[in-house]
Amino acid sequence: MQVTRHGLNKSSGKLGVGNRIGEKTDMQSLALLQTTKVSVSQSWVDYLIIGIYFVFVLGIGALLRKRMRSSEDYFLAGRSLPSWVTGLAFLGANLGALEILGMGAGAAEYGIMQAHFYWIGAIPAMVFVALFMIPFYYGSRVHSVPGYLKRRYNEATRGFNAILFAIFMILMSGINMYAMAIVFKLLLGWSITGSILLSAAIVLAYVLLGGLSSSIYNEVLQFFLITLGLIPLVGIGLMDSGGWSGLKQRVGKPGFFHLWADTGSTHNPMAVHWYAIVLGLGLVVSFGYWCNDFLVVQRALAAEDLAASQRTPIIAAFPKILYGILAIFPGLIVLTFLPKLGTTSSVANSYNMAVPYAMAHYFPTGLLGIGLTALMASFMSGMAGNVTAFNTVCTYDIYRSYVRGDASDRHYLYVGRVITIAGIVLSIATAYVVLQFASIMDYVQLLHSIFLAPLFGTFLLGMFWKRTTPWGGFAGLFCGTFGGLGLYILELLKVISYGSPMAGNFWRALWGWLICVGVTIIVSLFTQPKPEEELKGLVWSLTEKKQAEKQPWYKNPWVLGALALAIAIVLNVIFF
Amino acid sequence: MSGESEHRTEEALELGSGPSLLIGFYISAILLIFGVILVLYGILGPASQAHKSLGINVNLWWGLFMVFLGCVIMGTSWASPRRRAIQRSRHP
Repeated sequence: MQVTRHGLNKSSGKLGVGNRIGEKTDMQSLALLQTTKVSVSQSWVDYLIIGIYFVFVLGIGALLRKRMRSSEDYFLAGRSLPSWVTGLAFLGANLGALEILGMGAGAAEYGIMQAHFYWIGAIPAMVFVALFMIPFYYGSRVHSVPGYLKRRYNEATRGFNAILFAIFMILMSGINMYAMAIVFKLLLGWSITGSILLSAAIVLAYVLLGGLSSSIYNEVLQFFLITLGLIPLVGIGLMDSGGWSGLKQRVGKPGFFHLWADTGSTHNPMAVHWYAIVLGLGLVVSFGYWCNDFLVVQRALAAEDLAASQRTPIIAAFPKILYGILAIFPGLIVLTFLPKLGTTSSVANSYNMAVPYAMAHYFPTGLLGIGLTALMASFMSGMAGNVTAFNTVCTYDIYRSYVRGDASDRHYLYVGRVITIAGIVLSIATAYVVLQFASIMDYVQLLHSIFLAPLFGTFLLGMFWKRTTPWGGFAGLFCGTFGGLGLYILELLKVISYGSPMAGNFWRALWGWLICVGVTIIVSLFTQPKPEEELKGLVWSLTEKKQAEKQPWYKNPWVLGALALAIAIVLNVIFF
Repeated sequence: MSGESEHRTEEALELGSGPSLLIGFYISAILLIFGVILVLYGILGPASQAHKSLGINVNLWWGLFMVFLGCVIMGTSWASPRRRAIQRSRHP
C-alpha cells in the first residue's frame, strides 16, 4: 500500500518507489515479450479445486433431479424465490465467457471505454426493465420470445425468428467453447484443436450427467466464484502497478484512460462519437438485450411477488456496476507486462488471453485454482444456457412446428437429446469462427448487432404501438436483420469502413434497428392490424399494469434504481 | 391451484425449509471447502510462489476471507427462511 500512496501523492513519481517498480517491470516484460509465453505454475491443488467444483455442480444436478420432476420448472413457475436469489441468478444468467474474457479483452484493446458496456450499456436498461417492463410482463401473456411473436404478430415472424435464434445460439455456444479451449491451451500447452476437442468432451459429459437441471444454483455460484476470483486479481494488479496513476503511466496510452473526454470526435480508441455510444450501445444494444432476453427476464419473474421481481434486476445492477471495474481493470493491468498483446494474430497473443495471463502472472497455485474454476464456471454455464436454448428452439419451435407436430412427449425428449449432442458438435465448428476475430467482444457485438438489434425494434413497436400489424412486424424483422448483415458484408468488402470493429458494431446495431422500425411502420400502415381483443396482454396500452404493494424505502425498486443510476453517473464522472 | 401450491410448500419444507435455504447451504459449503483448502495450502504449502503476489500470502488471506464469507452465508440462510417456514407451518 506504500507504493500506492507514493504514486498518488507525487506527481513526479520518477524517484524512489516509482522507479523501482518501473525497473522490475521492464525486465519482466522484456522476458515475456521474447517468449510470448506467460509462465503459469499450476499444481495438484488447482486441479483439486476444479475437481471439487465439478463434483458440486454435477452433485446438485443429480440431487435435484431425484427430488423433483424438473427443477427448472419448479423454481421458475413456482414464483417463490426471495429477491436475493433471483437477483444473483438474473446476473448469473447474464454472465458468461463474454464477461470474464471478453470484457478484459475489450479493455486491452480499447482501454477503459470498454466500461461503457456496464455504466451506460447495462445499468440504465436494467433499471428500466425493473421499473417498467417487469410490471408489464407480470400482467401480460408474454412468457417467451417465440410465444410473443406468434401471438402479437404471425407464424411467419415466429418461424423466421426461431431459425435466426437457433443460428445465434450455436454461434454464441462456440464462443464459450473457444473460451474454455484457450484456457486449456494456456494450462496444458496443447494445440487449439486439441483444446477445443477437450472442451467439447467436458461439456458433453456435463450435459449427459444432468448439469443442465441445476442452472439457478450454478448461476448464483458462478456469481460468487467470479467475484471472488477477480477481486484479488484487480487488488494485486493495482498494487503492483502503483494504483490508477501508476497504471496510466505504465500503460502509456492516455486515450485508454478516459470514458468520454475524447468522444467529441473519433480520435479515441473505439473511434466512435459520444452519440453512437449513447444511441447504438446505450439504447439499442443495451435495451434490446435486457428487455428481451427471456433467459434473464425469466429469473426475475420467478421471485416471490411483484415487488421482489422488480427488485431483481436492480439487485443484479449493483454487482454489475462493480464488474465495470473488476472485469475491465485486468485488461489494463495486463498491458503493463504484455504491452504487445493483441498486436499479432496468434492465439497465444490475442486480446482474449488478457485475463488468463493476468491470473497466471499474479496468482500462486491455490488461488490460481479458484481463478480457473471461476473461468470454467462461466464458460460451462454460458454453454449450458446456449445449448439448452438451442435445444428448446429446435425441438419445439422448429421441429414440432414444421416437421412433425403430433408425436408424444417421449419422442420430443429423444429428439431433444439428439439435438443437444448435435448442438455441441456444431459448436466445435463455430468455435473456429472465433479465431477470425481479434477479440471475443468484437465478435459478440457483431452477432448482437445482427440478431438482437432488429428484434428489439420489432418488440418495441409491438409493445407500444397498437397499429403495428403482423406483416409489418415480419417485414421489419426481415429487413432489419438482412440490412445489418448487408452492412457487415459491405464492411468486409471495404466499401464502408469504421475506425474500429466496435464502432462498426454500434452503428450497425443502430442502422439495423432503424431499418426494422422504419419498415415495420411503413408496412403496418398498408396492412391490416389484429383486433384489439386479441392484443390484450400484448400491448402496453391494452394491458393492466400490476401495482406492487407499498414497500419500505430500502426495498422500494424506485429508490434502489435511483441509487444504482446515481452510482453509475458518478463513475462516469470520475473516469471521464 | 391452491392444492398445487400446498404441495409445493410441502416439497419445499421437505428439502429443508425452502429452495433458498438449500441454495444458501450449497454456496456456503463450496466456499467453506475452497476457503479451507486455500488456508491449509497457504500455511503448509511451499512458499516459493509468494513472489507472484508481491510477497503477500494471498492463499492464506483470501482463504480466510472465503471461510468467513461461507460462515456468513450459512448463518443468514439458517436464520431467515427457516424461521419464516416454521412460522408458516405454525400459522397456516
